[in-house]
Amino acid sequence: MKLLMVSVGSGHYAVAADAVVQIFDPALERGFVPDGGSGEIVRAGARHRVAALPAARTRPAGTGSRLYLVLDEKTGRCVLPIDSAEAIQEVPGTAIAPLPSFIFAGERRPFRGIFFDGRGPRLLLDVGALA
Amino acid sequence: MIAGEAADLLTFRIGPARAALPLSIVREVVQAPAIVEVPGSHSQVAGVTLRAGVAVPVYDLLIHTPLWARPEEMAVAPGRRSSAQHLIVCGFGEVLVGLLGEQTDFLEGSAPPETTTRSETIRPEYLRGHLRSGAEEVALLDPAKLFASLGVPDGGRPPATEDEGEEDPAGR
Repeated sequence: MKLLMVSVGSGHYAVAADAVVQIFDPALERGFVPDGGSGEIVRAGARHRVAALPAARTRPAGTGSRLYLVLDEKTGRCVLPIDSAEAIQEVPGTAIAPLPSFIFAGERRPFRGIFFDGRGPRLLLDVGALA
Repeated sequence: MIAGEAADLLTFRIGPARAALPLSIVREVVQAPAIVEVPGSHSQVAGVTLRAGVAVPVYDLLIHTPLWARPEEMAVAPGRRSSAQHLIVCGFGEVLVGLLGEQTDFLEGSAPPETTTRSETIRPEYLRGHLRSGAEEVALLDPAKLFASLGVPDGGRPPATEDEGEEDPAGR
């Protein structure tokens, strides 16, 4: 499967590339209204729900994300703030090890598994759980 | 380990304590593996590492406050991980569990542990007893009670492998 490698804070993650509709830079968007704590952004007059990783929520105040991914899943469309999009990589499904469910503190599991990206282990985001 | 029998142990340091586990449950000891933090996981989970294609959860016992008699005296600040460089991979039933530790050592054919409680650091409910290794006291951990307190399910659960996992991470 094709995966888009992204960075959020100090974390390195991957997202299924076919779930990514668009990558945009908020600095280049006219009428862009950032998330002011409402959990939404406004882009081109439309509201989009922001799906943030726990790590991103703990980002120091004033250090906004550089890019947004527009994600489309069965459950709906949302945007994911990221710091950088690095590459698209083909990763066989057999190379992705599922994470044990008992490590998660809540019902929501934002990650589907872990794989070796050639440099080190990387977590695969569960877009369905984010969207 | 059967009560009254000598057993081989793996000893290691966690913060102020020297602890031991039965060698029979230890699969491997790895120095400084790549550990990925998992946002949204329990506070005692330091992250996950990959071992032979299996995602192994890594636990930091130093920040696992139920283990310690006086957790407020632990040197690690909340939200920070210990600096231990060894990963002790244990088999608990069919689940693999990683524990961070340092100064790992092999203790061959140790005498049965004394059941009297002397440890001032680790809570007695997580111990099978105490041993002597040279001048040092070693707290023999009870794996079942320790892993249960970490949230690891008891034995029968299948390991999180790609072939046998309950969920296909590739979404097939």
